[in-house]
Amino acid sequence: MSQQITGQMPMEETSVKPVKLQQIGEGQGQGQNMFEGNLSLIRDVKVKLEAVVGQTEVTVGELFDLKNQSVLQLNVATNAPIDVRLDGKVIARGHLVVVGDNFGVCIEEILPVNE
Amino acid sequence: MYRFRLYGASEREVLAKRLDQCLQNWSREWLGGVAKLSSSLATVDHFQPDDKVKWRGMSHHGATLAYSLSGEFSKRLALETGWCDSAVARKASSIWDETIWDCIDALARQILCPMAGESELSSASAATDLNDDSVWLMHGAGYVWYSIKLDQEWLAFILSPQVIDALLVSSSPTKTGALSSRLRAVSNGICKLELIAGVAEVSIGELHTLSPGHIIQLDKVIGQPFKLYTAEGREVSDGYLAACGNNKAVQLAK
Repeated sequence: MSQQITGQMPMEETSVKPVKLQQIGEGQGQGQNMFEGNLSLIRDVKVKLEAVVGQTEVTVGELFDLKNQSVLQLNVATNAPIDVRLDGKVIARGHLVVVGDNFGVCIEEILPVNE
Repeated sequence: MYRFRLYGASEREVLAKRLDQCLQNWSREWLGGVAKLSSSLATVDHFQPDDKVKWRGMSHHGATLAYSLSGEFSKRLALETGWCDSAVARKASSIWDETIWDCIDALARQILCPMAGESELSSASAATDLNDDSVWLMHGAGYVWYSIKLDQEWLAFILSPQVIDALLVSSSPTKTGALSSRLRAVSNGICKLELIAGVAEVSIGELHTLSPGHIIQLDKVIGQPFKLYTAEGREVSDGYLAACGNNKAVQLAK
């Protein structure tokens, strides 16, 4: 008989057996997609957006020569919008603003999502 | 200004040893990943076969080691002078993409001879020693072309006076020599950086309704520096957004 770890002793002897899983093959499923387009399922899922001001390229030598207060010019004009990026892809552009005590981005353009 | 100088036998012996040391160090450090060199440098077992000559550059004592990797001529290496930068090497490789020998020869004719005021390498004021294993061609301008035969392959070096001085002076590599030479070798590599103003966590529902005029609040508080990252996502430094001319710029803070 298997040892019970509950404090209570069983009233009568109970049979305990291992669970056997049914073997099934891999498959794509059948019929229509179950969740297609159902945004409500994932609407609370959080994603992280990045506000990218601009880029620059430096050589490794230049990188190693950088000091405190060194200035790197970025590849964007002062009035250029900044990119809002999701998972490495730019999804929107906007301008940097102040929102209370924080920085923020005021969206100006939503970019089409390329498949 | 280039010095007229010829090198004595003892200096040549020292140079040959130094070159061998340097070449072995370089080979182990830099080519080790793509080639297996024996201690005698006699064999290079494996390179990716490729019909086109590929050039790589690396520096040591102000000189650039350029080596070509190709299917047919995979064992040939050349050490070129520092003023032959990678762009020149690339240009040379596009013109003479058959063998690195051709490149060396062309470089010698194009660069060394004019420096010495000579039209032909063979008629330049130089002394040549030739035996079965090595060729020394000491150019009047202070440059040395040194070729050594290893196995069935020749390794050719064109050395500037600065390189020669450095090789003659340095009797042994310093402890940091390997690291610093490694850093120098990648010093021309391009590093892409990007300045991130901040991040915001939003739900997919919010994202779905995002439209012009919406404001996304970032995590960055006013007065805090932005973050500078490499394109690979590694944080490099803090920095403050500024303007430099007509462009945005970042002033590093840490």
